[in-house]
Amino acid sequence: MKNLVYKELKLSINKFFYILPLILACLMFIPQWVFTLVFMYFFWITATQIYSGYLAQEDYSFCSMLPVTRKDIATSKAISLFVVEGLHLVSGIIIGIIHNLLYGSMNIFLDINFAFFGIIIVMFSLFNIVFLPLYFKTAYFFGKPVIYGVVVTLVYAFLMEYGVLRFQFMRDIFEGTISNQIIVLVVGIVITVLLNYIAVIRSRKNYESIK
Amino acid sequence: MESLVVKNLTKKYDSFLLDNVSFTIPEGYIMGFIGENGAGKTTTIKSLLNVINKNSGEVIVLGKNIDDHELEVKRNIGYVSGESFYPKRKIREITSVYKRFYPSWDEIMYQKYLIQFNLNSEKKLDELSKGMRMKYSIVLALSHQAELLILDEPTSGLDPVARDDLLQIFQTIVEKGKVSILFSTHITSDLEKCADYITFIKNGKLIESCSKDDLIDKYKLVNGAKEQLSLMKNQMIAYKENAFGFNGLIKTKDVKQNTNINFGQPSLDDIMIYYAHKEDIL
Repeated sequence: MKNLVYKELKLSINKFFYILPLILACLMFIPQWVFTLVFMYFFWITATQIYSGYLAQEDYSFCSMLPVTRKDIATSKAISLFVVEGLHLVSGIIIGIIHNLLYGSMNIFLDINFAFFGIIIVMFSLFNIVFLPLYFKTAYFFGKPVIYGVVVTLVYAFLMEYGVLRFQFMRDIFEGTISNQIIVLVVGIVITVLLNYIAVIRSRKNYESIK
Repeated sequence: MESLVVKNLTKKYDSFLLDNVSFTIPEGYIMGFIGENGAGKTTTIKSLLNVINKNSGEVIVLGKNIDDHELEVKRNIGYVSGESFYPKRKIREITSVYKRFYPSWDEIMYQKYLIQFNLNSEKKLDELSKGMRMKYSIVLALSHQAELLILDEPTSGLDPVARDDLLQIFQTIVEKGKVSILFSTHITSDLEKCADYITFIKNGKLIESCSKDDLIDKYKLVNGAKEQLSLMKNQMIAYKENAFGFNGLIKTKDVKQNTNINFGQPSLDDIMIYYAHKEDIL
């Protein structure tokens, strides 16, 4: 598994996608913006490009030559996606801290704080649980899985951003005390672990059952 | 000991059935795997390697069932698929990833093969000709001390000199008695040179699997005058009529010596071609 993940990160995924998170995170320097959008570029650009790259680079032909199981191929591709998501998250945290130092944390929409990153990791997980198992039904077609994943994350982000704008109780939960924010973050981590675990299990199962 | 035992391998697609294919490669021998386009050679190879899911059947490599010991078994196999991969990557980059999967990787042997095949590790795969890409795949398969090499059309795209070099290498490898090779190809002249055993499939069904000499002895080429055709028509696998009479293929056991018909030794090509026309008399 370790070697397969290495193969993904070294050979399959272009280095550009390791720099892109930092470039995209700089969008957080736009004051008073919808910051969940910053992370959505991952779904629109990175995930699409990585998975189309598997076809263009004939990755599955290469995998067929290796001493690996089909389960491990699916798992390594999911883990690699999580790694790149992690880079987006870390870049977002770094630029988010600088943003708050420059402008303060007050924002019309969601503030950049602990709770915000809890919301973001759940958004990534929602994309993963829709996109990955659907993609691994064919390990070929990625268009529909990306569209479905994007629709789900857009609805989720809209509910969060609009909710904070419209309802005080949501602002209290997500932008209240530090302890409230940390609770949201912890709940987000738990949901993320659970959803990503299910995404991996279903992806492995779907990839194994391809005729 | 057998290097590879395939028992009743079956794979069903909507429009194709690989039907209970069985064959065995003894340790230290080369088996040629022949059949026309679409006969099921690649499907057989991919099914036995679990690259695609088989419907049923058992595959035992060096005494171990591939379903129970998949990783261990695959580490002992060098597989050349004939398909391209990572065209924009340099040989050096691909090898650096590939060798991590094999604890028994032999860097000295790898470097030796690179020199022997004139491969520059700084070149990208799409800068190589098809033949050179095939050579690179073969170098990868040979460099991790695999005990079973499974090569899906390894000589296609190679010039005659490179093919001959490669066949020499295959023979050198098996001479030590440890390594066996399953070698699918359309170029049956390559098998005439180096194969010990032949497995022949047609439309997903096994026609023959035996030693090359036995296979050739099992059949006779036949030619005769037009009026003699009616005497043998029903015994022949297939035949072609021409201005002077007919040519055909017949099983040796069906040969009747009292007829005035000429019999000759067929090549693997002859056997394959006449079987291809078995239902479709020319």
